[in-house]
Amino acid sequence: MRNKVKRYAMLFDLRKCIGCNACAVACKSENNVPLGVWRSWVKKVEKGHYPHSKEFFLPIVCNNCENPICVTVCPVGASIKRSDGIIYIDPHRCIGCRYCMAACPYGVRYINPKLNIAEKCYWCHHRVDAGLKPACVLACPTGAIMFGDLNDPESDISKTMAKNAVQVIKPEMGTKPHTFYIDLDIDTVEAKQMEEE
Amino acid sequence: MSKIGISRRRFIKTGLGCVAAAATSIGTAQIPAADKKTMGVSRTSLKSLYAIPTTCEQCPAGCGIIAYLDGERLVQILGNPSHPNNQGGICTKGLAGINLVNDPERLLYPMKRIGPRGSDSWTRITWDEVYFTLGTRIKEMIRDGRISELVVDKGQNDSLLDRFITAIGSIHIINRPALKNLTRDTAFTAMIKSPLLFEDVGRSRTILNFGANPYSNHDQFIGIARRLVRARIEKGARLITFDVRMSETAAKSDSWHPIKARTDGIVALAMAKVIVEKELADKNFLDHNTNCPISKIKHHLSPYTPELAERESGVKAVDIERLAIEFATRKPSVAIIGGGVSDHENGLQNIRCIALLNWLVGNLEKEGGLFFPRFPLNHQGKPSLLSDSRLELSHAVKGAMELQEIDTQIDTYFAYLSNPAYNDPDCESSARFLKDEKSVPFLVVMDTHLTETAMMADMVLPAATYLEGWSISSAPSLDKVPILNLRQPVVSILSTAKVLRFPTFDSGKLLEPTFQPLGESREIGNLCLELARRIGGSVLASLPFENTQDYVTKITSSIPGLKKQGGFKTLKRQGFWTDKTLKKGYYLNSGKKSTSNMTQKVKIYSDTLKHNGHPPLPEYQPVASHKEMNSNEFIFTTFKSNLTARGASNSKWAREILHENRLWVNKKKADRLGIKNGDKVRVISPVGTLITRVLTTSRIHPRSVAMAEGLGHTAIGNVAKARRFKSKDQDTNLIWWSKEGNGVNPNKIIERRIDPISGGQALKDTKVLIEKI
Repeated sequence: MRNKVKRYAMLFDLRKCIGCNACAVACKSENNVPLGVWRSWVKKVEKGHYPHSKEFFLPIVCNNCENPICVTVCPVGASIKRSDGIIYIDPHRCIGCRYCMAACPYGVRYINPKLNIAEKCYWCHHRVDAGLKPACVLACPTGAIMFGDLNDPESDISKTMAKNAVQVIKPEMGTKPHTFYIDLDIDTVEAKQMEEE
Repeated sequence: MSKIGISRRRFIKTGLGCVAAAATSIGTAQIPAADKKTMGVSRTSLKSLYAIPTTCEQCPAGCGIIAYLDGERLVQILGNPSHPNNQGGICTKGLAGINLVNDPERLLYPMKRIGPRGSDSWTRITWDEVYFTLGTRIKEMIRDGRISELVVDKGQNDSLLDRFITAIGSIHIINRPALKNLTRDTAFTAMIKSPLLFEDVGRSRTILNFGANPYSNHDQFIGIARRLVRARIEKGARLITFDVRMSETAAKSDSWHPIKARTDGIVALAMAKVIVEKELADKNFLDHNTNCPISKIKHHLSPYTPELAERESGVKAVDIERLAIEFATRKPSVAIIGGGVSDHENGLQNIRCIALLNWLVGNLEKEGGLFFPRFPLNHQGKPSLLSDSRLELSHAVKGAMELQEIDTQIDTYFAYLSNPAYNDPDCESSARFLKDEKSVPFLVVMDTHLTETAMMADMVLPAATYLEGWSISSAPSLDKVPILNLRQPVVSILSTAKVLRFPTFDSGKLLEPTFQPLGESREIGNLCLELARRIGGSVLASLPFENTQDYVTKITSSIPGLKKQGGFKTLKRQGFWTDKTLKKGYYLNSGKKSTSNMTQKVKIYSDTLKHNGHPPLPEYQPVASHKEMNSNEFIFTTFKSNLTARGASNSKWAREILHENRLWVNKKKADRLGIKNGDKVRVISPVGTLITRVLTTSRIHPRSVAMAEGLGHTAIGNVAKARRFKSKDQDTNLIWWSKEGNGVNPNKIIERRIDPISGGQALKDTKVLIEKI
């Protein structure tokens, strides 16, 4: 029987990622993210020696963890985990104390320079609630991003995850991230971001 | 049993409700979101957004997009999921299109220069004055029989502008979109009488990519990138890239072979030799569909051994042999070509060499190979949209500097969305030429921003962006079914009160939204129509349209297939149209002789080339100047990121990600020259010098240096110049990359060289010297 409680997850197929930054810009336009801060971005890493060099792309969004440290540390209860797994920040409660930013192992939170409160990717929950996909999923030119309900074995994301090996960033933190990657390279996670081209 | 019927009270209530609903929707009524796929929702108010399908024009790919409107304001652009080419995917600059429309620094009013040229002092004028000035000038030129003194420099194609040019006579024309692909178009026209063939990469199993970067910049950008990714990941195709630098495509290829610049031809020929000698070529195709039997090709290829190719190009002979066998046996296979091959002095021959690989495996109108473009047809069975061939009447000129060289008398220079003072190779010379009032007496620039060229103009006209006007075009038919793309305005909706005040108000269109471009900006089509009205005579007779919308409606009615399937209404609702009655994705050459519809033969041996004194068979032409190079000399290559385009120059989101273009230098080579990552260097070419920082990387061939183009603007706007400023958009006060700068313009140091056979620009052949500062 289908589980009625949803557990959303996002899956990046890095084999399909072409490092175009469309997800990052779609996010800026959807969520009105100011310049200088990002909810979603693409990390580019160069590896190897010529001529056996390689370039890797790693799109990053909030992991919306199962065990979110940010929610635990928030002194005012502004970071809230919904039953479907999405973690969002209540803008009216947040006091901009930056505890959550210090606690997050992934560095996905930022302080909005206009509002002085913490913000992050929440998988466009306003779209998800209306039955739509997050903006980056729709924008991705190669269809490398998937979003769906893990509790539904018939959903595309469940099927794809059943067929492919998936990884998460920093599993050792015990946060149980729910942003998954196919073909994730551990060195890419730890490497320094490549300098401007 | 429930009572059926309606009470009087209820009748009045609902009746009034209907009237009220109709009244509120006057002028702001929208095409409702048809299905879930195209729905949008406001982040703050959670109300659903209005969706209007239209076509993106940030690049020539013609992706279907959906514009989302919150009330009157355009808030988001996403891909159109039902468009057959991009299938909902959209690139970064397409998403950033709303930055172009809502840009606080846009040019919104026609202006006239009051100081000396380039002094940036302007006064506002009315459109009536613009029409009067231009109309009088053109009328006089026609009257005196010196219409050739008019130069039209168009950075983007517009069918009404083309019609206008054809109508007024034989003028000088600089067609930038055609100029970009001139070498490729000439090469393919000589071989198969069509300027381009589409690559069916979605169905190939082996793809050899020579110098193309479809993951970042391509004529069919998202459409082809999507198909390529799907072929590789879901169908197990192999993608092999030959390029001087590791492009995004090379990074996501199965293997990258760094190749010495402009030696792609010899690698292709060596591969062809392996294929022919191992008897893996498609003999049937060569005998029946080409003018060159296999024995002749075999004889011609005999000197091109893989070992020779290795010495010349640096690609290992064993790799060449292995890949050639894979290409000929792991079918369907296709060899694709990009700017890295064509933008050289031997570009045309290089393209012919690579095309030979395709002919050897019988790749014409076959699954996973190359195929002809398909166009929507009109009543006479001809392509229904005006093609470029009708413009052959005019004198085609290859850039502003050629006008000076051929010593053309110029009266008026009209630049539409073209920026020669920035974009031309050796752009500083072009800028000097345009600034000189003796050589260019009257310079008019029509653009969305005050570009480098516009700064020198006598008159600047505000152009409507692609989101503010009407046009119709045929998109690349990547699935072999013709596609008609409609571009309709999505900005900005006029309020009911304003609409009702219109003298041309049509009560029949009460429920349709009325759009008008921002400020006083106008579409080029409407400018042409108004000028035609002022000139009158035969010019007016050949442009019998009221406005651009009228033009689009009339053109669509000439397509019989569309008329049957709902006509203009369908087109407007979907944003595009494909003929559903046509057979899906057929190939002309089914392989069997009896069923083959292909009458045309591929001219591997070209009589035209022979006639003009060039080698008739695909041949590799080495270039002497590149053989003798010192250790600090490099071949300068530029590349196009997907974040730079004419319409994205002043986009805050695009510039935030890419605002600095460092010079890529091979790490080992840089070590030898004592250059470290981030060092400032002077790059010296025969035409100019620029100073930039170095990015030492292992992703580039040691003999080449590379730099992203489209940055380093000195005009256009503060975002393009990386300056923080205050405007109605709060974000512009948050520009954080002022210290890092806005990059440099590589066009300053690019020599103006051409491929002598095609006349196409050889932009990637400049030899540069690097000095550490």
